[in-house]
Parts: sequence; structure tokens; C-alpha cells
Amino acid sequence: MNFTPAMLLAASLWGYAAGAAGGLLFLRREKQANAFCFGVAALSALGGLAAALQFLAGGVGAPAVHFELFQASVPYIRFSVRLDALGAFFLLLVSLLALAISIYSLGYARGYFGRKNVGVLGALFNLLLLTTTLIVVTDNLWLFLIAWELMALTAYCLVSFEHESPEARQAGVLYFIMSHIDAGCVILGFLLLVQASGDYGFASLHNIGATMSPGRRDAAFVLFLVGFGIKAGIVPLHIWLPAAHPVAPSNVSAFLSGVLLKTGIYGLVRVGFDFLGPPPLWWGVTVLTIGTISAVLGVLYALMEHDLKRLLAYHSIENIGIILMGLGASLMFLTTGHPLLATLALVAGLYHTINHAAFKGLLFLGAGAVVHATHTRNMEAMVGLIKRMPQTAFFFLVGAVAISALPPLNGFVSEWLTYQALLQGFGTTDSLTRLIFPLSGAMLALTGALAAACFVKAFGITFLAQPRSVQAGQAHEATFTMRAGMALLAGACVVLGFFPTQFARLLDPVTQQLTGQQISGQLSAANGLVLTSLTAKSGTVSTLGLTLMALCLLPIPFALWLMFGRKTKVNRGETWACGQRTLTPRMEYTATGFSKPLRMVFKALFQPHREVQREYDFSPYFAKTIRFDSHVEEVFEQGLYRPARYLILRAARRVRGLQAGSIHAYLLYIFVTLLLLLLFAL
Amino acid sequence: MRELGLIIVPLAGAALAALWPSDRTRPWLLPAVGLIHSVLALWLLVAPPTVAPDAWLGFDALARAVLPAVSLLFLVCAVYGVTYLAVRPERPNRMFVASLLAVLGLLSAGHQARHLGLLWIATEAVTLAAVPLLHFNGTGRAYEATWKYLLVGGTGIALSLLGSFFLGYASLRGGGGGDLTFAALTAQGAGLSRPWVLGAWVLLLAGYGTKMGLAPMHTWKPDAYGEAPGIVGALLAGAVTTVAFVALLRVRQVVDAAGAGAVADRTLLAIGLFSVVVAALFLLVTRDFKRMLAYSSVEHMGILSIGAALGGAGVWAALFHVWNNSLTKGAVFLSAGNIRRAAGARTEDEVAGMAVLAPVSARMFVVGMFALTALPPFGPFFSELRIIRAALAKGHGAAAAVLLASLFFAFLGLSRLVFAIVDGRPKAAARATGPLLLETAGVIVPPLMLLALSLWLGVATPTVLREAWDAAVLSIAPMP
Repeated sequence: MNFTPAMLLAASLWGYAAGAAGGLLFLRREKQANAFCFGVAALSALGGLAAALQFLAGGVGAPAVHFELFQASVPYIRFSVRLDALGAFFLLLVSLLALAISIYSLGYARGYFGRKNVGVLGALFNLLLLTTTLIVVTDNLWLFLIAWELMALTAYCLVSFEHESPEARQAGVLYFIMSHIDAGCVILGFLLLVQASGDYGFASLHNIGATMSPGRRDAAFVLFLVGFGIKAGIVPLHIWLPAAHPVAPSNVSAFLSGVLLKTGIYGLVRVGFDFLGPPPLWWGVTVLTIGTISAVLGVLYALMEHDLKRLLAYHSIENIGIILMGLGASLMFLTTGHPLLATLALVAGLYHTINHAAFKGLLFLGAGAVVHATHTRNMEAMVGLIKRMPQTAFFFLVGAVAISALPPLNGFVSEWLTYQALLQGFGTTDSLTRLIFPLSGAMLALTGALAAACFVKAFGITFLAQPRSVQAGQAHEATFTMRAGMALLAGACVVLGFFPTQFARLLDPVTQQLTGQQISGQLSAANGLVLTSLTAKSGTVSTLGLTLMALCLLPIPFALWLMFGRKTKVNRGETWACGQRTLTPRMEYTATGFSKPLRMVFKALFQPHREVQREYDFSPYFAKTIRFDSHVEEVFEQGLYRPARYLILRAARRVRGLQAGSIHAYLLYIFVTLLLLLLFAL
Repeated sequence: MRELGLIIVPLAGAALAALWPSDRTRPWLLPAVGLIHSVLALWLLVAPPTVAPDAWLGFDALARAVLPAVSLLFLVCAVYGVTYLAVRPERPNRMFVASLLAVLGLLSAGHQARHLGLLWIATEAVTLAAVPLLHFNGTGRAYEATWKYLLVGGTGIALSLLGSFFLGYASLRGGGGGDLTFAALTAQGAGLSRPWVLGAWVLLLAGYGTKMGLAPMHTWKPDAYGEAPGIVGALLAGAVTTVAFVALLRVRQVVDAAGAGAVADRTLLAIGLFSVVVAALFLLVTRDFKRMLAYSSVEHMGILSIGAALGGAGVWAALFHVWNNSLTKGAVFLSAGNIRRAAGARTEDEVAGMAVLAPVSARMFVVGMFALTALPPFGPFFSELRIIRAALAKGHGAAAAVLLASLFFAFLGLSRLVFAIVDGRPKAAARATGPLLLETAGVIVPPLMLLALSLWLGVATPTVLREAWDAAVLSIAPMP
């Protein structure tokens, strides 16, 4: 029997729905709920994955898959699914992550047995997968908006799943409020488009921007940028992200960071490349600038974090920034008439989108295993887990190498493509705007270096050295299913890193749809073993070759040691402890200490708050107790959100004085109104 | 005949309630009358009668578009009332039940009134009939609230009477016969004396606006809604205010015919925007969740007023929003009433963790709050969306922006307070006494039904309602 993408996709969607319903059926039986919900979710994700791969492998020109989930008797709303190339690419991303995370959850959710209702968790999880999948495959605006809101609502429930902690509740509410703004902007933006097209189908919105007045088109673009930008977590609209992602259950955090943010990217690509028509130059410049700022600030704040999951959340902001650099450059090239370069930048952005999903999902799953084992998110209290959790440590290392853009893993490939696009951009125009390309490129380089430093810290402090706390000493390795989920994503990182030219071929239908170009042929050289950036002149790289080269070079030091090293005498001795008698784990390097130099370098930005209190009896050299407090505040939180909040609340309190309880005043209001109305009307 | 039944049956029920001997069985009159009323109203909705153009009273297009919502809301509140009065045996309920039924009868008359004087009599009789409902709890604060309601409301009554006189005089002055039916006034159209029409409009807007609770004439609302039982709040916010809105729509039609429609729209838009802004600001700082509902009501009245100012499409959306507001607000009031009883207090300083103490009501409260703040696919989302679309189509981009910003801040205020009450751990005092209310089916099913109705209106607005709204819009504000 042949499975068509339509059948697979329908089965996948209904599967998620069944999983959600099943969770509610098994509310009181946690074991069955766990097995059923996450099992069904994994199978459904497999279906989605197969549908997406089959569609993309069909190559350019495969007709869009179109069907109705069921006939609705409701006007406007049609439960209509239309899988086109762009949708299929994002379906691939969603399903890949959904598969890995579902498998992981089979083991992870056991931690909630007897504590929280796993049936509810499973139902919400399936609902989240369902709505996210619907968002990327529907072509009906109403269904899109309903799925969009439901996704936000489900995500809110999951963020505040552990609502016993005030932190989770506050994060949930903040997330929900930001989602509300985001939904408002998106709805208003679409309203402007629909007014021009008069229809709610996505097909009628194609290139609709060309028929709109420039003012309305720009307004729609700004609304979409804010709306989808909040979802994606761009600076300065990101404040909900570092609050919400850490407090959610870790499997959910992985999905939020890996997939949910990408729905914002999906929206921007869909709207920017499909609906709004040929972009003016400033759109691309804006997106590129926002991307650059997000990338740099994201990684800088990540460096200052000691909460493992918050650190990863800030890295999501950084990576969204890198994705937007690709997309922004692509928009600029479209304006200046370089479709091939635009396609290259688009490929870079989309490639980084799926890469970030893979490695950030992996890292969050790893962090989840660590938090699960140690019951703390504070890196300072973990330390030395590699001996207790060697496999988790290995997977985390793979993710860390990938996110730091080190060859040969996937992060390197997409960042390399982004560099290439930016570097070639300098020659595309003579106006001063071209300066933005080298500037962004330099910032991207800075970002990469800082990210590497950050993950040296994250991996080194968390996994190396000796355990500093009791919990860290008693940590246990993750269960089999948890490791299997991580292994799947680690595998994805490796495959995406080693076979970029093959993967680029899957992107051909997408770029054909969005820019009318396909460049996988130009990107590949030497039978697909070498990745080039359009022309071999400008740059080539082969991750596979680099790996092989490293493997070939590996025997050399060994041989050298065999030749010369064996004769050298080795002395073993105690590490010098500055005169103390013994070294204890408390003296190990801390994350705070590690990041101190950078805190000093970027003092102007961080404005670190530092407070030391000492108590001593007779001489300051023999302190009895020392209290040390150091933290940094986010500049946007301090400079933007807090003053705005203050101003609005002050206005509200002023107005409150109107309702003073005096009936005289109340009657006065009526007559003043009357007077004003009379003046106004006559 | 059926349309008269809408008025006579509740009034007869009120008389019966006043004579009924037993406090225990009397509340059953409420659902009995409510059911007859709803059956009649829905029957009339599906099969509207023909109304003579010069009739003083009739189930015309506008009544058809709004009255069934009031009827449904009353039915659900009546069912809730039976259980509510059963848990309040310490208060005599003769006046309460009789007044509730009288309010229903007079509301039906007000909605069907096609005569300016009759409209005034009916709406103001509703105001007076509602007085015993407000001080049902018999506390000092309840009496204070009632007094404020009467004083502010009375001023409104006086203003609308004066406005009615102005309109009558405009007809005489313009050479008409002083016939005060809306049909006759509209027919006289440009013949009406313009200055007097404008004066009448301003007075009637201020008068009926007081009844609707448009800012800054809303000052009676927070006290009244805060002190009255949840069921009374639901009816005041969902039913009594709508009759004033319908009155304004009818008057606006006359003003429009007299050639001053632009002025009317401008004032409606200004006062509506002012209401949503003021309400949003109040919502940000209020700490009492029942007073919060009053400000939310001000906000929604503002939205109605904005809709009414935006021509045919806007009026259509406003009529849709009347239904959504009535049903959704009813659900929120009833669940808030449950929470108030279960917690024994009303402010966020004293109440927390209601998800533990009254789990079902707390969930309904949260869902109702989401519905009220226009979360799709609940009804209010679609009606507010239509109003914003109408504003954009009319070129009122700035008004749409102000409205959207206010909606957002209102959402902030509402969600802040609702979550503060629902989440967290119950306060020590509440933990010691345990919940003061058992969540029986009698107090759970009614708000749940209203929520379901609100959802239904959103996802599948029935065709008959669309037709009714179309017809109403055609009858008062012909599409351009």
C-alpha cells in the first residue's frame, strides 16, 4: 500500500487529536496516560515527518497537497489543509522535534507520577503539537488564527503547569500577556491584507501586498514584525522568553524553544516572502538590524546566566537573531535585484531554523535530564555530572558543539552560509546601506565566539570537575527513552552537519516557491561532498572532509608519543592549593568566576550590581562570614518596560480618584458631560 | 398577542410572587416564567409577526434582534436563582422574586416600545423595579449603593425625560403633529427643527447613557455591581443596559432622519472611546473582583457605543456584541458570585487560591474572563473584530487603535486580578473555615450554559440571528 503525504498528514493530525482526548480519558491512570499520550504523539509525529520528507523529496513542481479535515458548517472557517513546500519544510521541523521529544517524554513524565496529573500534561502536549502543526499546514486564515490562539493558550497552561511555584505563575501570565499583544498585531495585520483581497484563503493573499497602498503595506509589515517577532522572541520583545522557557517542564521547554519560536519565523517568511510582495529596502534593513541586535544581546545575557535553562533560553534569542540575519539579508537582496543571493540568504536562514530546532531541542532535553537528576537549575550546584551521567553529558556536548558553530556539526554549516551571504552582500549595491553587511558579519563572528565561550562554561561547570552538592553527587543517568530522544536529535545534528548539499536539495522546492530560484546545484561541488557558496571563488567548505582530515591527523600525536614520549619521566604530585592543606570541590571554578572577565568588558551594558558584606572579629584578613551578591539587570527591562509600567499605573491611579464615592462629584460629571456634549454637538 | 405575552406573563408572575405564601417554593416561579418567556421570545425570533407602522408597541426588527438574548439570559439566571435563594434562607425573598419578574416584564416592554414616551416609561420603571434587587443583602453598604444608584439613575431619568420633551417639541416646532412614535418622527425627518433635535439627542444620550453606564455617567455601577448578588449583576449588565442601548439606537434613527446623523455618530464615538479608555485604566488598578466586573461592563458599553457610531456594519456588529456581552458577562457574574460566596470576601488582598476552594467556579471564571477579553473562538472576539473592521473601513484608524490599546489594557487588568484570585494558596482564614459554598449543579450548570452559548455564538452564529440583525440594521441604519 502506498502512503501519500495527504494520508500521512491527516493521520498525524487526527493522531494528535486522539492523543489529546486519550489524556483526558486516562486522567486517573498515570501510567496508561503516559504510554498512550506520548506513544500516540510519537507515532503521529512519525507520520508528519514521513509526509514532509515525501513531499520535499518529490522535488520542485510537486503539486500542493490539499484536503479538508472535515466539512464544517461554519461560515468562513474551513478546516482546510494545504501542504505546500514552505509548509512542508516547517512540518519537517515540527515533526522531527515532536518525535524526539515525545520519545523523551515517555521517560521524563514519569518524574511527575504521584505529583502532578500526567493525563493533563499529555493532553496539553498533544494539543500543542496539533495546533503547531495546523499553523504551518493550514491555508485558511480563520483556522490559522484559531490555531494560533489555541497554541498560545496551551503553551500558557504548560508554562504554568507547575503552578505551585509563584515563579511559574508569573512567567505564565507574562507569557500570556505578550501572546495577547502578538495575536492582536497579527490579527490586525491580516485584517489589512484581507481588506485588500476580500477572501480568507491563503491562496488569495499571495502577493496581495502589490495591490495595496504603500502606507497600508508598511503598516501591515510592522504589525507582522511585532506580532510574529514577539512569538519568535526578538529583542526588545523577548522579555517573556527567558521567564517562560525555564519554568516549564523540560520536555515542553524543548518544544517551546525548538518549535514554538519557529512559528514566528514561519509567519514572517510566509508573510514577507509570500503575501506582502516585493519588499522595500527598509524592511530588509530592519530585519537584519533586529537580527544582529538580538544575536549579540542574546548571547551576552546568556553568558551572565547561572540558571542552565535560562541560559539556553537566552541562546534561543541569539539564534533567532541569526535566523533573522539570513532572512533580512534575503529581503534586501530581493529589493536590490539579486535573486540568487537572496535565495542563498534564505537557505541560510531556513537551514539555521531547522538546525536551531535540532540542537536547542537537544540541549533542553539534556538540561531536562540534568535538572531531573539534581532537582536544581543552578549550574553552580551541579558540577561534575559527567561521571554520573556520561551519556547525557555526551549528548549535551554534541549540542554544545553544534550551537557554538564549530565544525563539523550543523550549526557551523548554516552560520557559514549566513557569513557567505553577508560577505557577498557588500558588492550588491553602491549605497551606504551596504555597510550593514560587514557590520552584521562582524557581529555574527562576535556572537559565535561568545557562544563558544558560553558553552565552555555551560558544559564545563555542569559536567566537569567534582560534584559540589549532595544532589549532584547522587545524580543518576537518564532513562532509556530519555536518552533515545536525545540520541535522535544528536543524530540529526550530525546528519545536518555532514550532508549539507544533500539537505539543500530538500530546500529547492521551498526556494522555488518563495524566490523562484533553486540553488542546490550551485551549492554543491565534488559530487555533493563540498559545499560552496554559489561560486567556488567565494568560498567552499566540506564538513565531511574536515572530519576525515581530523581522523587522519589523529594518529600523528600518538605516533609522536610512541617515538619520543615514552622515555620522558612523569612526576605525579598534589595540585598546589595556595597553602591550604587540601582542595575541596568548593574551591572549583564557578560560572560566576568564569564569566567575570566578560562582565567587566561589557560593564557599560550590564551595569553589574555587586555587593559584598564581610564580618570579621579582629582583622579583615580573617573573615568570619562573607556574603557576596552579584547580578545583572536587563537593559530593556530596566529602560523600557519598567518605566512604561510605572507611567501607565500612575495614570490609572490618577483616574481612580474620579470614583471617590462622593455623589456630588458623580452628579457633577453628568452635567459636565452634558455641557461638553452640547458644545460638541451644536 | 405573543408579543404582549412577553410583557403580561412576567408581570402576572410578579403579582403572583407577591401573593405567594411560601419563601421556600416561591423562587420556582422564576424559571417557570423565564421558560414561558424564552419559548415565546424564540418563537417570535423564528416567526416574527408583522408590526403596524404606527403601533406604539410591537415586536419589530430591533426587538427581534435583541430581546431573545435578554430572555435567554433571564432564563439561565432564573435557574441559578432557585439554588441561590435556597442557600440564602435568612433573607426574605418576596420582594426579590417579584421585582425580578417585574424587571423582566418591563424590559420586554422597553425593548418593544416604538413610542418615545412609552419607551421612557418602561425604561425608567425598570430602573425603579431594580431597586429592591440591589439591597437584597441588607447591609449598610448595599443601601448606600442603592441610594447612589437611585440618585445618579434618577438624574438620568430626568435628563431623558427632558430629551423626550425636546424631541416632541422639535416635531411641533417643525410643523408636525407631535406624534411621538418613532415611525412618525422618522417620517417627519428633515422637517424636525434641527436645534431642538440636537438638544434632544444630547439630553437623551446623557440620560440613557447614564442607564447604560457610559463613562463618566457610570459612577453608580461599581457600587451597585459590587454589592448586589451575582444574579442581579448579571441581569443589570446583560439585560437592563441593553434596553438603554436599544433606546439610543431608536433615537439615533430619528436624529439621522433629521439630517444630524453625523453629529450623533461623532458624539457616540467620542463617548464610547472615552468609556473604554476610562474603563481600561480603572481595570488596571481595581482590587475588588466584583467592582472589576462593573468596569468591564463600562468597557463593553463603550464598545457598543463605538459600534453604533460606525454605520450599518458597525451597528450589525454592535447588535452581535449585545448578545455576546449579555451571555458572556452573565457567565462571569454568576461564577464571580460563586467565588464571592465561597471565599466570603471580594478583594485580592483577602482572596487567593480559589482554584483549590471552588475549583469549577474558578475555572469558569478564568474561561469567562478569556471569553470576555475576546479570545477566539468565543463570540466577543468576532463581534469586536467586526467593529474594528468597520472602524477601519470607515477610515477611523485612530479610533481603532485607541480601542485596541484599551482592549489590551483591559485584558491586562482583568487577567491580573483574575489570576491573583484563582491562583496561589488560599488565605489562612479561608483554609480554616473551608469553602463557604458547595459547588452543586444548581450553581455550576447555569454559568456553564452561558459559556457554551457564548462559544456557540462565536463558532456557529445561527443564520436566524444573522437575519434578525440584518433586518434590524436595515430598519434603523440602512447600509450605504
